[in-house]
Amino acid sequence: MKLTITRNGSQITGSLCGKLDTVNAEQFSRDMQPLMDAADGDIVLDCAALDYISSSGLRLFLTLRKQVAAKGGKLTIRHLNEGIREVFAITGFFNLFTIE
Amino acid sequence: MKHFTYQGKAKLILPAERAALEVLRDWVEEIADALNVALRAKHQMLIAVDEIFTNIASYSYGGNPGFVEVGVDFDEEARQLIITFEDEGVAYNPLEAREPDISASLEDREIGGLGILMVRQLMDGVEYKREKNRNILILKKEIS
Repeated sequence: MKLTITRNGSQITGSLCGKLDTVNAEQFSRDMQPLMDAADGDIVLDCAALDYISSSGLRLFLTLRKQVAAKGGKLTIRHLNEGIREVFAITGFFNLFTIE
Repeated sequence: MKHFTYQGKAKLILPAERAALEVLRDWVEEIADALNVALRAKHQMLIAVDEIFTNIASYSYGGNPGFVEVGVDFDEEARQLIITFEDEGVAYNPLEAREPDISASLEDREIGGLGILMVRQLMDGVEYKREKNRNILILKKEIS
Protein backbone atom coordinates (compact mmCIF):
# COMPACT_ATOMS: atom_id res chain seq x y z
CA MET A 1 0.00 0.00 0.00
CA LYS A 2 1.38 3.36 -1.03
CA LEU A 3 -0.03 6.87 -0.73
CA THR A 4 1.45 9.58 -2.92
CA ILE A 5 0.44 13.13 -2.13
CA THR A 6 0.70 15.83 -4.77
CA ARG A 7 -0.34 19.48 -4.69
CA ASN A 8 -1.63 21.35 -7.68
CA GLY A 9 -2.44 24.95 -6.84
CA SER A 10 -5.03 24.82 -4.08
CA GLN A 11 -5.90 21.17 -4.71
CA ILE A 12 -4.26 18.31 -2.84
CA THR A 13 -4.44 14.80 -4.30
CA GLY A 14 -3.76 11.53 -2.50
CA SER A 15 -3.15 8.66 -4.93
CA LEU A 16 -3.59 5.22 -3.39
CA CYS A 17 -1.80 2.19 -4.75
CA GLY A 18 -2.18 -1.43 -3.64
CA LYS A 19 -4.35 -3.05 -0.99
CA LEU A 20 -5.80 -1.04 1.87
CA ASP A 21 -6.36 -3.87 4.36
CA THR A 22 -6.29 -4.03 8.13
CA VAL A 23 -2.55 -4.58 8.20
CA ASN A 24 -1.83 -1.52 6.04
CA ALA A 25 -4.48 0.69 7.60
CA GLU A 26 -2.30 1.81 10.51
CA GLN A 27 0.44 3.03 8.20
CA PHE A 28 -2.12 4.64 5.90
CA SER A 29 -3.65 6.48 8.83
CA ARG A 30 -0.25 8.09 9.50
CA ASP A 31 0.45 8.71 5.82
CA MET A 32 -2.86 10.49 5.29
CA GLN A 33 -2.15 13.08 7.98
CA PRO A 34 -1.31 15.78 5.37
CA LEU A 35 -4.80 15.22 3.92
CA MET A 36 -6.38 15.52 7.37
CA ASP A 37 -4.42 18.75 7.85
CA ALA A 38 -5.78 20.05 4.54
CA ALA A 39 -9.41 19.26 5.45
CA ASP A 40 -10.47 22.87 4.95
CA GLY A 41 -9.34 22.72 1.31
CA ASP A 42 -9.97 20.79 -1.88
CA ILE A 43 -8.95 17.14 -1.51
CA VAL A 44 -9.02 14.39 -4.12
CA LEU A 45 -8.52 10.70 -3.39
CA ASP A 46 -7.43 9.00 -6.58
CA CYS A 47 -8.17 5.27 -6.28
CA ALA A 48 -7.19 4.24 -9.82
CA ALA A 49 -4.48 1.92 -8.50
CA LEU A 50 -6.29 0.86 -5.33
CA ASP A 51 -7.01 -2.86 -5.67
CA TYR A 52 -8.97 -3.51 -2.57
CA ILE A 53 -10.30 -1.96 0.63
CA SER A 54 -11.34 -3.56 3.92
CA SER A 55 -13.49 -2.06 6.66
CA SER A 56 -10.43 -0.57 8.36
CA GLY A 57 -9.71 1.35 5.17
CA LEU A 58 -13.34 2.45 4.92
CA ARG A 59 -13.15 3.73 8.49
CA LEU A 60 -10.22 5.96 7.52
CA PHE A 61 -12.07 7.28 4.46
CA LEU A 62 -14.99 8.09 6.76
CA THR A 63 -12.70 9.76 9.31
CA LEU A 64 -11.30 11.99 6.58
CA ARG A 65 -14.79 12.72 5.26
CA LYS A 66 -15.98 13.79 8.72
CA GLN A 67 -12.92 15.97 9.19
CA VAL A 68 -13.54 17.65 5.82
CA ALA A 69 -17.18 18.29 6.77
CA ALA A 70 -16.10 19.77 10.10
CA LYS A 71 -13.52 22.07 8.49
CA GLY A 72 -15.66 23.10 5.54
CA GLY A 73 -13.50 21.58 2.82
CA LYS A 74 -14.28 19.42 -0.18
CA LEU A 75 -13.46 15.74 -0.76
CA THR A 76 -13.78 13.93 -4.08
CA ILE A 77 -13.04 10.26 -4.70
CA ARG A 78 -12.00 9.26 -8.21
CA HIS A 79 -11.57 6.08 -10.23
CA LEU A 80 -13.00 3.39 -7.97
CA ASN A 81 -12.72 -0.11 -9.42
CA GLU A 82 -15.74 -2.44 -9.63
CA GLY A 83 -14.92 -4.36 -6.45
CA ILE A 84 -14.58 -1.21 -4.38
CA ARG A 85 -17.75 0.24 -5.91
CA GLU A 86 -19.59 -2.83 -4.67
CA VAL A 87 -18.18 -2.29 -1.17
CA PHE A 88 -19.23 1.38 -1.30
CA ALA A 89 -22.74 0.33 -2.34
CA ILE A 90 -23.09 -2.20 0.48
CA THR A 91 -21.89 0.19 3.15
CA GLY A 92 -23.89 3.18 1.90
CA PHE A 93 -20.72 5.14 1.20
CA PHE A 94 -22.09 6.47 -2.10
CA ASN A 95 -24.39 8.67 -0.01
CA LEU A 96 -21.50 10.11 1.96
CA PHE A 97 -18.93 10.88 -0.71
CA THR A 98 -18.67 12.75 -3.97
CA ILE A 99 -17.55 10.08 -6.44
CA GLU A 100 -16.29 10.82 -9.92
CA MET B 1 3.44 -19.60 -7.71
CA LYS B 2 1.65 -22.84 -6.98
CA HIS B 3 2.49 -24.40 -3.64
CA PHE B 4 0.11 -27.34 -3.57
CA THR B 5 -2.64 -29.00 -5.52
CA TYR B 6 -6.07 -28.26 -4.12
CA GLN B 7 -8.28 -31.31 -4.02
CA GLY B 8 -11.46 -29.94 -2.51
CA LYS B 9 -10.22 -29.78 1.05
CA ALA B 10 -7.40 -27.90 2.73
CA LYS B 11 -6.50 -26.55 6.15
CA LEU B 12 -4.12 -23.87 7.35
CA ILE B 13 -3.16 -23.07 10.95
CA LEU B 14 -1.96 -19.53 11.54
CA PRO B 15 -0.92 -17.41 14.50
CA ALA B 16 -3.78 -15.10 15.47
CA GLU B 17 -1.83 -12.03 14.38
CA ARG B 18 -2.75 -9.45 11.79
CA ALA B 19 0.60 -9.95 10.11
CA ALA B 20 -0.50 -13.46 9.10
CA LEU B 21 -3.28 -12.04 6.94
CA GLU B 22 -1.18 -11.91 3.81
CA VAL B 23 -0.27 -15.60 4.03
CA LEU B 24 -3.93 -16.48 4.49
CA ARG B 25 -5.05 -14.26 1.63
CA ASP B 26 -2.48 -15.72 -0.76
CA TRP B 27 -3.55 -19.21 0.21
CA VAL B 28 -7.26 -18.52 -0.33
CA GLU B 29 -6.46 -16.84 -3.62
CA GLU B 30 -4.49 -19.86 -4.75
CA ILE B 31 -7.42 -22.16 -3.98
CA ALA B 32 -9.85 -19.83 -5.72
CA ASP B 33 -7.62 -19.79 -8.79
CA ALA B 34 -7.33 -23.59 -8.75
CA LEU B 35 -11.15 -23.71 -8.89
CA ASN B 36 -11.34 -20.99 -11.55
CA VAL B 37 -13.47 -18.79 -9.32
CA ALA B 38 -14.53 -15.63 -11.18
CA LEU B 39 -12.65 -12.47 -10.24
CA ARG B 40 -15.62 -10.79 -8.60
CA ALA B 41 -16.45 -13.77 -6.38
CA LYS B 42 -12.79 -14.14 -5.54
CA HIS B 43 -12.55 -10.52 -4.41
CA GLN B 44 -15.69 -10.91 -2.35
CA MET B 45 -14.18 -13.96 -0.64
CA LEU B 46 -10.91 -12.18 0.03
CA ILE B 47 -12.69 -9.26 1.67
CA ALA B 48 -14.74 -11.60 3.88
CA VAL B 49 -11.63 -13.58 4.84
CA ASP B 50 -9.79 -10.35 5.67
CA GLU B 51 -12.62 -9.11 7.89
CA ILE B 52 -13.12 -12.35 9.80
CA PHE B 53 -9.44 -13.10 10.27
CA THR B 54 -8.49 -9.61 11.44
CA ASN B 55 -11.45 -9.63 13.80
CA ILE B 56 -10.16 -12.81 15.42
CA ALA B 57 -6.54 -11.61 15.38
CA SER B 58 -7.53 -8.31 17.00
CA TYR B 59 -9.92 -9.47 19.70
CA SER B 60 -10.13 -13.18 20.25
CA TYR B 61 -7.10 -13.77 22.46
CA GLY B 62 -7.04 -10.36 24.15
CA GLY B 63 -3.47 -9.63 23.15
CA ASN B 64 -2.18 -13.09 24.13
CA PRO B 65 -0.75 -15.45 21.55
CA GLY B 66 -3.18 -17.85 19.95
CA PHE B 67 -3.96 -19.61 16.71
CA VAL B 68 -6.62 -19.63 14.03
CA GLU B 69 -7.41 -22.72 12.05
CA VAL B 70 -8.84 -22.02 8.61
CA GLY B 71 -10.36 -24.73 6.45
CA VAL B 72 -11.51 -24.41 2.87
CA ASP B 73 -13.80 -27.16 1.63
CA PHE B 74 -15.37 -27.28 -1.79
CA ASP B 75 -18.81 -28.83 -2.13
CA GLU B 76 -18.73 -29.78 -5.77
CA GLU B 77 -22.40 -30.64 -6.05
CA ALA B 78 -23.58 -27.34 -4.58
CA ARG B 79 -20.66 -25.49 -6.26
CA GLN B 80 -20.06 -23.92 -2.89
CA LEU B 81 -16.88 -23.01 -1.07
CA ILE B 82 -17.08 -23.40 2.68
CA ILE B 83 -14.49 -21.45 4.65
CA THR B 84 -14.31 -22.30 8.34
CA PHE B 85 -12.47 -20.27 11.00
CA GLU B 86 -11.82 -21.85 14.38
CA ASP B 87 -10.12 -20.28 17.39
CA GLU B 88 -9.94 -20.96 21.12
CA GLY B 89 -10.29 -17.37 22.18
CA VAL B 90 -13.03 -15.69 24.17
CA ALA B 91 -16.56 -16.66 23.06
CA TYR B 92 -17.76 -14.11 20.55
CA ASN B 93 -20.50 -14.27 17.97
CA PRO B 94 -19.93 -11.45 15.48
CA LEU B 95 -23.39 -12.05 14.01
CA GLU B 96 -24.93 -10.68 17.21
CA ALA B 97 -23.21 -7.33 16.79
CA ARG B 98 -25.51 -4.44 15.98
CA GLU B 99 -25.36 -3.45 12.34
CA PRO B 100 -24.58 0.15 11.51
CA ASP B 101 -27.35 2.26 10.00
CA ILE B 102 -26.05 2.81 6.49
CA SER B 103 -28.70 5.41 5.76
CA ALA B 104 -27.54 7.64 8.62
CA SER B 105 -26.33 11.13 7.76
CA LEU B 106 -22.62 11.87 7.80
CA GLU B 107 -22.79 13.39 11.29
CA ASP B 108 -24.56 10.35 12.73
CA ARG B 109 -22.64 7.79 10.76
CA GLU B 110 -20.82 5.36 13.04
CA ILE B 111 -17.27 4.43 12.24
CA GLY B 112 -17.49 0.74 13.24
CA GLY B 113 -19.44 -2.36 12.29
CA LEU B 114 -18.80 -2.19 8.56
CA GLY B 115 -16.70 -5.36 8.39
CA ILE B 116 -19.34 -7.83 9.45
CA LEU B 117 -21.93 -6.00 7.36
CA MET B 118 -19.79 -6.58 4.27
CA VAL B 119 -19.24 -10.23 5.17
CA ARG B 120 -23.00 -10.81 5.42
CA GLN B 121 -23.65 -9.09 2.12
CA LEU B 122 -20.81 -10.62 0.14
CA MET B 123 -21.26 -14.23 1.27
CA ASP B 124 -24.18 -16.55 0.57
CA GLY B 125 -24.17 -17.83 4.13
CA VAL B 126 -22.55 -16.97 7.46
CA GLU B 127 -22.92 -19.16 10.54
CA TYR B 128 -21.47 -19.09 14.01
CA LYS B 129 -21.31 -21.78 16.67
CA ARG B 130 -19.43 -22.35 19.88
CA GLU B 131 -18.20 -25.91 20.36
CA LYS B 132 -15.64 -27.39 22.75
CA ASN B 133 -14.44 -23.95 23.79
CA ARG B 134 -13.94 -22.97 20.18
CA ASN B 135 -15.47 -20.18 18.14
CA ILE B 136 -16.44 -21.60 14.78
CA LEU B 137 -17.36 -19.18 12.03
CA ILE B 138 -18.43 -20.58 8.69
CA LEU B 139 -18.60 -18.65 5.42
CA LYS B 140 -20.35 -20.09 2.39
CA LYS B 141 -19.87 -18.79 -1.10
CA GLU B 142 -21.45 -20.13 -4.24
CA ILE B 143 -19.19 -20.12 -7.24
CA SER B 144 -20.36 -20.58 -10.78
